[in-house]
Amino acid sequence: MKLDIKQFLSKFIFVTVLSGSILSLEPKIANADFSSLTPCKDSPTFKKRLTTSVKKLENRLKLYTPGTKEADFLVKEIEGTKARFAKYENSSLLCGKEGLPRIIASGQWDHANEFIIPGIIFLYITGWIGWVGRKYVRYASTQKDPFQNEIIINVPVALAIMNSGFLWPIEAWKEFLTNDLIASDDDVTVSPR
Amino acid sequence: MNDFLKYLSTAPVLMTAWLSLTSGFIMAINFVYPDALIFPGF
Repeated sequence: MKLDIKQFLSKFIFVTVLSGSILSLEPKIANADFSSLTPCKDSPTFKKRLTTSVKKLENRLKLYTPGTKEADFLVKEIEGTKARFAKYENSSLLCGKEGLPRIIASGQWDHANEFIIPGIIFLYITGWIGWVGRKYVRYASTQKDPFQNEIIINVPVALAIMNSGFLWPIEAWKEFLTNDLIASDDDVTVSPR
Repeated sequence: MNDFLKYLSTAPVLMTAWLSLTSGFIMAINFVYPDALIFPGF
């Protein structure tokens, strides 16, 4: 059976968008509660972890004379620990029974800054890298000596391509519509079967 | 000079330079904004 990739991709994107919009309309899924988790600022074990962490560092601090490099380092560590716990306390993070913060990756919007937004940024950046790499390889293939252009990079061209990649989702979609994104089946070699 | 520029443009040399820059950038972010567990500003 021959699989039409373009048709398949269109269907896949359609189904993803459709199910995504349906899921976000369903309030129960969008706001699932986590009965076993408590906000970190209300979690006694979370606070206990702060005191034990600080105590451990303070005990180490006692071993050094104040003003030395080691003592200064430990003072900074104590400050950093307190700042870290304060930051987690003042955020929307939920803590487990053992007092450690959890990342909610269920896709609900009130916890978007824990997974969805960093995830989208990750996909955007990796997509950017892949897109400009592809663009450069395609540029090299049009040159007189394609392999040489991949070993010895044409830096000015590469930099121009890298800087132009920020609109890659739109460019990729355009290429997809004009049949430029995906190679046609005739160009792909298949072992005899 | 031209040969030296050519050497700097070879893929391994460029990659070393570029990845050093990238890792330095990430280290700087982690130095200024340590212990990031969530995306700030939300």
